[in-house]
Amino acid sequence: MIVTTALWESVWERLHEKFQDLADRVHVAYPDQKWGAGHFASDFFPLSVFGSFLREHTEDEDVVISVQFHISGPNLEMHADVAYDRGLILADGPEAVVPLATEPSVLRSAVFQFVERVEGFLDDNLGLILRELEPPRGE
Amino acid sequence: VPRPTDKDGLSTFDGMERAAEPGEKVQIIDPSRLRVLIAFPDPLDPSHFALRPGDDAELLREWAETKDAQRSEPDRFLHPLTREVFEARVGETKRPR
Repeated sequence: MIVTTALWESVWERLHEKFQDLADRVHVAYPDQKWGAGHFASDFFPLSVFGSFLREHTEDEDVVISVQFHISGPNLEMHADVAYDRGLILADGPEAVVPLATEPSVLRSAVFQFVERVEGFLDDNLGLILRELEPPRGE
Repeated sequence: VPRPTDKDGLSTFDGMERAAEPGEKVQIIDPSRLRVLIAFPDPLDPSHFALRPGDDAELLREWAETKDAQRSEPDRFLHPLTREVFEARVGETKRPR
């Protein structure tokens, strides 16, 4: 398997840029909205990316964008969603599977095609995220 | 991260139906990959397990106290046990609606 750390750093940088763009657009509607993003790696997830918009009036319903790169047997599985942090999925995002044995440049291309689809998915779901972050009436 | 009120530890289940409502996703953890945490079976509920650091109630309390702050700081693990759970994660799936 040839999946370099440099690839995942590039993917993280691009997704982080997209998350920042999304947060900037959220801040137009809700200037005080808190958000954060992070990325982690483990044996089975060479890259896990999270972007969280806090809903401070709830305990476990922050709105979380999740982009996962998962090694499953001989394949790299990729999927994204928008969900509450307790797990309820608000919008299913793109999915893709590529064999890990794929030639490195082809694998890299497949990963970035997926990332491009994630960027479109986030653009398409800005309205959903804004609706979810709308403060409860009375605040 | 367990809630401060979760005195037994972080709740987990050995089946999808108990772990998630329809439309929710679940993280799949391999308990053999845990190091400090132990999956304790619930004597009253055979499919329920609580992840906690043995009998170290102080460490469990310390971990639970990071729950709120972890929400605000998703860019790093605020407690080593949070990292441990993350590193024991071997998959993610969702329960159909």
